[in-house]
Amino acid sequence: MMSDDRTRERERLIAALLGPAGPELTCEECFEQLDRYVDVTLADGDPDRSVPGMRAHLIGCPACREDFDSLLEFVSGVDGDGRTVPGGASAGPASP
Amino acid sequence: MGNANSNVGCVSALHADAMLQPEQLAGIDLFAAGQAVRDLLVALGCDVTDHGLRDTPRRVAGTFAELLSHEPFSLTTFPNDGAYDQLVVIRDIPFHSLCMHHLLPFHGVAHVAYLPDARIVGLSKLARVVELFARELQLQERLTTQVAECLQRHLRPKGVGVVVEAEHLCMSLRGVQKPGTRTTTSALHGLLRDDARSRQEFPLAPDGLAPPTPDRGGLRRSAGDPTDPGQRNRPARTARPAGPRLPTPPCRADPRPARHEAARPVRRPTADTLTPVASEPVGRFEVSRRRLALPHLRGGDHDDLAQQAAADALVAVLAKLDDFRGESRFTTWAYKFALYEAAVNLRRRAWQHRELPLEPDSWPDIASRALSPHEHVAESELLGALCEAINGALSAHQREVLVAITLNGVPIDVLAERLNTTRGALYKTLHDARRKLRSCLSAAGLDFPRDDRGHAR
Repeated sequence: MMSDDRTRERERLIAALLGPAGPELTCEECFEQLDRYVDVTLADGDPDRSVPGMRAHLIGCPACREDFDSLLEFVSGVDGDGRTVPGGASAGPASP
Repeated sequence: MGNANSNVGCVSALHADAMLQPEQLAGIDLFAAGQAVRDLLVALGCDVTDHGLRDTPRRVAGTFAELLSHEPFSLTTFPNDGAYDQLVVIRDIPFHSLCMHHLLPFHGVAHVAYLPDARIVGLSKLARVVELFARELQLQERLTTQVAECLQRHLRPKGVGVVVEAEHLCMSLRGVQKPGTRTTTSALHGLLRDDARSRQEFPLAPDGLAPPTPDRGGLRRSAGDPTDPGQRNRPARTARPAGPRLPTPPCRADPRPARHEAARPVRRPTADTLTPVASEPVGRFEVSRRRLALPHLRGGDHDDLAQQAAADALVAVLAKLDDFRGESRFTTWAYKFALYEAAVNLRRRAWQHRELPLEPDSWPDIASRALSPHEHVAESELLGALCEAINGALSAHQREVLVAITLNGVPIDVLAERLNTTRGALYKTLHDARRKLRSCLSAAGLDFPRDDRGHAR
């Protein structure tokens, strides 16, 4: 178990230091496209095809990743562990 | 923040003090802007190697960054203990902004009035709200509406009136070329819109013109050709009878519709749509996600923060309302701004009294942190080479940024604020540092992940 933890820590460390390998969006472009990327993700579409470079940026930028996770959870009303998000948007108003 | 919190909690979220900040602060990439200016000069046939032009891209980028930036501030409101029930008017607030169609300045004065209800606001804050919305690419109509809506939402007065008079250089220097022409726009809410007697107390309101339009409570007019002596000699800041309307408003001389207008969905969202969207759930959600990062706060503080985050979020979404292009669901789009605004403020709050670990001495020995002597030799070699490259190949700034963001978990927006730069510029630094590291590992013949498989989503 200790060894598995250390392996994961090593992988995380190397990935964080080296960042994504592929071409990526800038933070500004990421924010511009974030809502579309989330909607395509929730519609079971192909978000990486819809917004090329977004996935790489979310790997490389912790703050943008946090913003993506936050929006995805809030809009879907369910967090990564399948729990309902209190006050989440799933029970909120529909589009105008 | 401290002052803001002292007033939050005793009133509803819409009355809570709000730390207001324009969106542009987070999005300015000075390096990219400089490159773009250089490209523009080349495209215009200029010799960018000329001595006089050599530093122009950097200067122009800095100028636009300055024109599009504004210090955040708290929209402090107070209980109206004296039950003051007459009009509060601030006249002749000077401002300058940038026309979003031509990137040319327009400048003039704003007159702001409100009829208090349960809350009043610090007088200087009225001028600051004008400044806040002026420091972005703007239309005069939108600027007027945004100031009025911001005050209506945060102050909940009995009435709000905003009149803006401005000269547009895009009309003075190009196109029709009529210098001195001033355009007046207005936005009236509540009693200032519906009650003629209240409106008469606001002498700058355009009462002599057509009645306000029912949807936005405002109108726009241009004080036509300055060669008309009746207009040239008229005092600049008195209520004026209707001048001749120009066939096209100054910033709309280009017959092509603006991008955001062309793609606007049929059912355009309105400010009222946002009340449930950008409201307390957003604040509660973001605060809940960050409880561990805010350990020094008590339970009641979390509620205050949630209310403040909700109020900030609402302002952020209102300011962007005209930009919605229908490329995603409206609710997803609106929540994006709301959550971002809340997240930025809470990240700042979580780090506000903390030293940022930037110094080379403080960054951890990543090899010893991650490996035991019995483990994989190749990975040990890889991490060792990474340490060496971080120390030897990166500039001090690149090393600081890399260490702070990837190893010490400093949020990039917090770091950008402390280093007085932008999120975009810092990410470019991080990107360049990573490229150098990959290049060093390749040169050393080491095997390392060369694609993004295995990463989540």
